[in-house]
Amino acid sequence: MNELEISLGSKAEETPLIHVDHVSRHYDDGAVKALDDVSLTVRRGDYLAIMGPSGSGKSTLLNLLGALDRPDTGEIFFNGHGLSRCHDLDHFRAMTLGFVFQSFYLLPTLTALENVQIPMFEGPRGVRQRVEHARGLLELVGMSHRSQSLPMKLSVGERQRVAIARALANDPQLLLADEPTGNLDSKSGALVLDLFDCLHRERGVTIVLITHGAEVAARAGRTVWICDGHLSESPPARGQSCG
Amino acid sequence: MRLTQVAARNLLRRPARTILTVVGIGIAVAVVVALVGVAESLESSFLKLYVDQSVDLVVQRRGGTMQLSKGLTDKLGDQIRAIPGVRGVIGGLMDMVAFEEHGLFMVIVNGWEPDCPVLDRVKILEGRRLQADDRRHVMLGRVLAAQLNKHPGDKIELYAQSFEVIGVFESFSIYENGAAFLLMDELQRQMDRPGQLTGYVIQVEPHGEQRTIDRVGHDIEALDPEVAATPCFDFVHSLKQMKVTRTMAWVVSAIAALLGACGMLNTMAMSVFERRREFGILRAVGWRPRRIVQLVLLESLCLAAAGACLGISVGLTVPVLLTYWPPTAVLVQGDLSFSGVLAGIALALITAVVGAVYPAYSCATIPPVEALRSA
Repeated sequence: MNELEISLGSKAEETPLIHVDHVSRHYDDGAVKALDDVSLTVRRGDYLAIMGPSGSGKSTLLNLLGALDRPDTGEIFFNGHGLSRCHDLDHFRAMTLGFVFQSFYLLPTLTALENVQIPMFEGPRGVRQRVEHARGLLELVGMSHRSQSLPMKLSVGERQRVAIARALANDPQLLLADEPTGNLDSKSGALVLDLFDCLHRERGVTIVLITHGAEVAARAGRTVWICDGHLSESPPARGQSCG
Repeated sequence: MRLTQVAARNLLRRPARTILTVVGIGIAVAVVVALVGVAESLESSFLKLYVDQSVDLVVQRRGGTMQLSKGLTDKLGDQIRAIPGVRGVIGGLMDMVAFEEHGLFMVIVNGWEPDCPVLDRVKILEGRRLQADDRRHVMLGRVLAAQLNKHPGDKIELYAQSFEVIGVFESFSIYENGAAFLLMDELQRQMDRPGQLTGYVIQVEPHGEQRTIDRVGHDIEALDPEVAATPCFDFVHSLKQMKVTRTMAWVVSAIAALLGACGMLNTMAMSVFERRREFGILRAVGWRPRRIVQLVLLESLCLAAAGACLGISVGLTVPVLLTYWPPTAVLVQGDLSFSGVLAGIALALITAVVGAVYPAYSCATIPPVEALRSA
């Protein structure tokens, strides 16, 4: 069993933002154990990096944290409420979480400004408010000058900044990023990480980030490692394989 | 940004496919609008022939599958005139001939008595009306005269005999404009049906009063059990030719609807399958399945609306064009057919819903993780 308590500057008595309680996720009728009895706590304002090789279960964990998937066993609590008992996970995702994907996943037919508005369809904002809020977010990520551009006209770094603006559309409590710099050159990657630092430092956004790169993880306040579906507080020893 | 804009952008992503789908739906809608319109026009044109003459009843021999095949005697007219409440009785003999060299088939030939009000009702454009002592003389409706390129004094061949065109007339009825008028006894002679008429049209007093119509109809049928007196609307509606035309129109419309729905289903299924990952993204950022269904339905409705606009425009133009084509010029009025338009709109809506429901449901219910994994 892996029990990790990650609390960066938070009060011990405070209810954690996320508590992953003995969660397992298997595929192919149990033949593939993507996650095996994993537990994890993330407090408000944390900046957590999850490191691990390909196929180690990072994305599975992120999908579970993002309520995109359900665990086979165990429970994930958000603000103390079990997600398995949440009847409207769509609304939960829309209003509580922000996703940043490695491949950006912007809608190709919509401009940057329109892409940022997409999550707001499920929120309380009206049409005009959506536009104004999206403009503000694009300005925040330094993309206001490309608001009318389609994704294919943007550089990969610009696309990821637009994707970050989209992730912030409904003022989420938690930003989940899956290899956000994986498709970027070092300069663009650094810009994106600077943006994450800024969001964490100045807006107090809780960030959980998946990465292969140690230099990316170094930006986070705390790093955990995942290997063969098991979570570890310390990195694997040099030469030690995940198996 | 509104949902409609998202839908519009998706449709414009593949303009060729969108245009082809719209054209496909448009053709289906046009077929429905045109066929239903033509069928309705045929019926309304025929009904107009009676209604505009304030006809209340049509009297014909009972049981004939074709109205021309059986006849009534000219004595029956006098008996009907004696029935209380009968204001007017017009007897007529009808036949159909062909002018094959002009591509005209089923041209109506009417035989009227010299004092028949019909001969006074039509407007003489050239020449004069038929008189009692006219022999081998014919009046031509405006459209028929133009199609045959005949004027008063010219000869035409009817029943293998030479007839002189005595006048050209215009009527409110497109059927009469495409018809030829002969005197009754002339036509009876040519058809070898002396003393026979095809039927009578009856005006009652007061016109349109149902109780009087029913009583007079009953009295007429009492004169001869083989005679049927039918209110003119029922008569037109029950004509075999009208029934066949209506049935054909609706059968072809149903086939068009099926093809339209298949085309829409194909387009929407392709479109949705291609965008599986995008739907995964939308689900990941919190879009509910209901909103995704709305988006797909909206796209489908946009296609259907564009197809309906195109189809209705074409479908309404076709009957108008048919009024300029000689074989159909005397059958179709080219009026606006509301039921045709409604049928076209209904078809477009049905294809939109039928074509979108399955793709929308399948993409809305796919787990977001699975959709995001799609290449």
